[in-house]
Amino acid sequence: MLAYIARRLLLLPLILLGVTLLIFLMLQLLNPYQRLSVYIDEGSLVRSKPEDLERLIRLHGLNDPIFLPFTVGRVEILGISFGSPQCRGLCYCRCTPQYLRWLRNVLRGNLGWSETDKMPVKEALMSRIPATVELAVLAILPLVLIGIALGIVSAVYHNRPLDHLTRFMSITGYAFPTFVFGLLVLMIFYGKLGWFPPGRLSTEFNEIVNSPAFMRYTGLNTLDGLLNGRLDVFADALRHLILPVLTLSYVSWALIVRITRSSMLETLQQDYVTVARAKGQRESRVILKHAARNALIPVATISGLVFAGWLSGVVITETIFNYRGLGKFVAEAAYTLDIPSVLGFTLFATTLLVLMNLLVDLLYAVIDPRVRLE
Amino acid sequence: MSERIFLAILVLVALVAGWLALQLGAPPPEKPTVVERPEKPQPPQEPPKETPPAEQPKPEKKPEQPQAERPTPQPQTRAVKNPDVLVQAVIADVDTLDPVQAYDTASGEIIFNIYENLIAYDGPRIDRFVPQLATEVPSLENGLIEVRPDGTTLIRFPIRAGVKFHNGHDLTPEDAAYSFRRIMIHSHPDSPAWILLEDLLGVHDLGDLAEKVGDQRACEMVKEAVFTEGQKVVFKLREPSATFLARLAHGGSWGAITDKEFVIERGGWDENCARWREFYQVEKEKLPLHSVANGTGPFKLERWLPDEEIVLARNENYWRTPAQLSKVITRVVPEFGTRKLMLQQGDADIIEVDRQFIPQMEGLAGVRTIYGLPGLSNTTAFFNYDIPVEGNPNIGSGRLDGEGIPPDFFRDIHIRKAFNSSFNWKEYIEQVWRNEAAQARGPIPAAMPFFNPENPVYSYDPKAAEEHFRAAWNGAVWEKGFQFTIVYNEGNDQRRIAAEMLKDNVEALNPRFQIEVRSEPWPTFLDSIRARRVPIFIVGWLADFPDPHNFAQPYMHSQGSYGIRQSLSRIANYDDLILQAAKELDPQKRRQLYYELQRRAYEDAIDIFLVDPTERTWQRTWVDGWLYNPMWPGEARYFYLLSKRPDAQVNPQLLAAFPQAKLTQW
Repeated sequence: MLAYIARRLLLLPLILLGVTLLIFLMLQLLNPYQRLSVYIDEGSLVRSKPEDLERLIRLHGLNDPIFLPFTVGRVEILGISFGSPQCRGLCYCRCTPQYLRWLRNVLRGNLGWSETDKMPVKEALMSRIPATVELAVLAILPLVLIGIALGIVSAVYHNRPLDHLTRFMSITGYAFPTFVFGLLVLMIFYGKLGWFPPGRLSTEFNEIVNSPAFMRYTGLNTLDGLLNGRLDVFADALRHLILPVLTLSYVSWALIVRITRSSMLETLQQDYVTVARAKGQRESRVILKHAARNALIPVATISGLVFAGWLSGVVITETIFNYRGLGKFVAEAAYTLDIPSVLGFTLFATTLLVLMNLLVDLLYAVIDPRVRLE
Repeated sequence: MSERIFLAILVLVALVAGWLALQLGAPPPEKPTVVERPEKPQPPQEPPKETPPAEQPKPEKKPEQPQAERPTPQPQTRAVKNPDVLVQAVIADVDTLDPVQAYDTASGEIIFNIYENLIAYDGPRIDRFVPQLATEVPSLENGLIEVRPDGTTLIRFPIRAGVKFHNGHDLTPEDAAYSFRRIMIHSHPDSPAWILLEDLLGVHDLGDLAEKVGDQRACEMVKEAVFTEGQKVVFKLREPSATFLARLAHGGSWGAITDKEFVIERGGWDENCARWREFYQVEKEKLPLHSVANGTGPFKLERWLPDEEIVLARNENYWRTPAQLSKVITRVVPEFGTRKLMLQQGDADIIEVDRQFIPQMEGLAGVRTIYGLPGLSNTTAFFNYDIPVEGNPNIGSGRLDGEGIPPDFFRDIHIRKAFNSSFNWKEYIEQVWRNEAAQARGPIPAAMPFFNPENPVYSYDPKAAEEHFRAAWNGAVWEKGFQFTIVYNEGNDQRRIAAEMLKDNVEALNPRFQIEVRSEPWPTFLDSIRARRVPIFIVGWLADFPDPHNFAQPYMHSQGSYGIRQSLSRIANYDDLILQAAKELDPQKRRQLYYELQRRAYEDAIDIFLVDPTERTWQRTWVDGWLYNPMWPGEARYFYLLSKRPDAQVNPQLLAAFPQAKLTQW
């Protein structure tokens, strides 16, 4: 198994290299002025002189070649222009290509500057990861537990009212746009009832958490509240998490329920289940021990992917609930062409995805002893 | 049977859920409270007691009976939440806290409340100044402005004694001089450095000066332009400037006085001329005050968590009476629905609301809105007088053959007048701006000094438009027709509708006239504007300082921000007139010059001047003391004046200064 894990982990740098190369390659489609857009808003644009834009481009090295210290002259392929208008044919540049510059800095632990968060990318990611982790961890528990339970119930009571009800609930959740569902629950539970506010903490608890007396161990407000012995902080953090957790898990339940249900239906037809029943075992034992365990493999795969997706940020949920996580960060970074932020996030998300996939694969072996990792 | 019952229950549940959603989505607006006019004018709201009183905003005269309807204040529906902490929810985050680089309103608002200037605008007035960190406002009368025979002008500011920075350092004239020198040295192309450089050294970028005179000399010239003289800081202008005091009074960026020692300790420029290039045009991450702050203002920075919140705490050692609020929290909440709910629940006291959401705000209990406040911005459709043809998809064939337009299409005055006569301002202002804007009468907005309220304007007149189109290009335009594209930046509905209205009205005149309206994402739009590929572009301008020069120059000077982009020199030249007006110190003569410029902008129909929008605020009725000055950045604006109390009133100074403003509260 160790060899299997090592092999998978060794692939990680290659995958990261490939993904970042691809992003830089796509950048070639944009000219330096377009890539400048992250540094300049409309107010600045209208106030700038043409030479100011040139200065900014030089300042940020946006005119430098991407991969090799050569610039090609303007060429047009399929209506898209490439290359530099200042160059004819092939021009040598006494500069470090943008990708190499970025790669060199990454190897030194510097992911660049995030215009989105006005701080180094590494700090920006570190400040946002705890919030997203807290949300994703708390949301995955109800998703998996309730999703699997409902899926099993639905399969066991196949085509009966309980099955219909479960399917109805999960399908409505799936069909509900996250934006609509999120706003709706926010209007009910915050606007009308005032129970669950947006954000991560209320004003007074925010002040406590940011005071020198409060130790930040993990950045997770719930956990830090407990570790500091502040149950009021823990409760307030939880109060702020309920709606995003509900939104996130409800709209994803359908997926887990349906997969569990179909997998369970298939498993319940298996001979070994019939044998277990014939041996006179209790129905609950047959379902939970013999059928459910084998039906969970596809569920584990999907849950792992969903969890990895959440850890990479949930844009809409974070936006509605004003939750400062990775989703809001990367959405804004991508929209404004904040390339260092996008690349930094890509490194994180890709690593996470590879690790989650590995974890799910390891989980197969735990769930089903027949699976051998080689 | 059980299946049927179950399905019936499902349908019932669905119906109830739908009904619930509708109820929650559209709450019936509460009626505004009974409107009454106060028997007597309210006494001016006294800000916290102060020494000396001149720095406080005060009304020019006693509050007049305002024309606006005044609802009677209602008792609060619930207790004031966090009574000494004010929370505002805004859309955009701060860009940087370093005054040498900050050039956006979000950063400006925070800097405005942390730092102070030498002089400030007099409360809601933009045409009068009061001393702040200086003890007097320089003038020719008090001898602090000295115009030498060669035109060189010296402006002296005596610096207030006994003022301390937040870190306890004493304010000195050297701090003031250093603050302005540092801005000029920074000279970043995306910073406001040009606002000082223009008057002091006659350039927009110190690098340009250094190219001419050498690095060492350029640095020395910076030091010669701002220097100390005993307890005074002195500015040496190349020639008289009628705009300089207005430039310095702007709070929130280039006028802010910083602590020299503190900046140098953090790695800022040490005034060594041999090293200034190391600090020239550096990026945000290298700025010593990007994420920290140390001013003399009523609030100090407690923390800034980008994209979440910035927290300011009261400066207990403020040189005037400390502010009433202990903290001001500015939360970044991009989603409107969330901001609205925060205001509704009292978790935010002031929020930012885009115009399209105004109907959704009406009827919120415990909320007030004040609107019709004059703004210092405008929106204009600019003609391009020299459109590049090569690789430009926006002008079709590039010829006047019915399939495109030639590069000089708009140089014919009949074309410009025809387009001006094709725009329906009334409909645009009613439908798009909900009557919260006025037709612009030229480049200078209505709230600006020397605005001519009688300047003629074009109005929607299809007959006049047709006549001009028939006369344009010796009849060729009417006979052959044209095709081109108006481009706007994606997501800006006000510009989209303006472009579509122009398209519809022009196309209705002649079936050969074809205009396409297309949106572009910001990166593409930026590139299109830069490359001047757009035949007509619609953009706005927000005042940097309250002087008509700040609008006349970009709009009408051949090298102004817009003038250069539209190649204005191809049709007219107003440069001498603009420079003359900027230098003129006699207000009457200045007025004549600016009236002349406004008249010529109309006669030459250089642009389609669309609208001067008015401003509006949304706040809880427990917010007390809120005051408006068009130059103060942000939503809550000047935190020093604010407090929260159950019996809060609208600031009488506000009502006295802006009698046209309207107030509604629920």
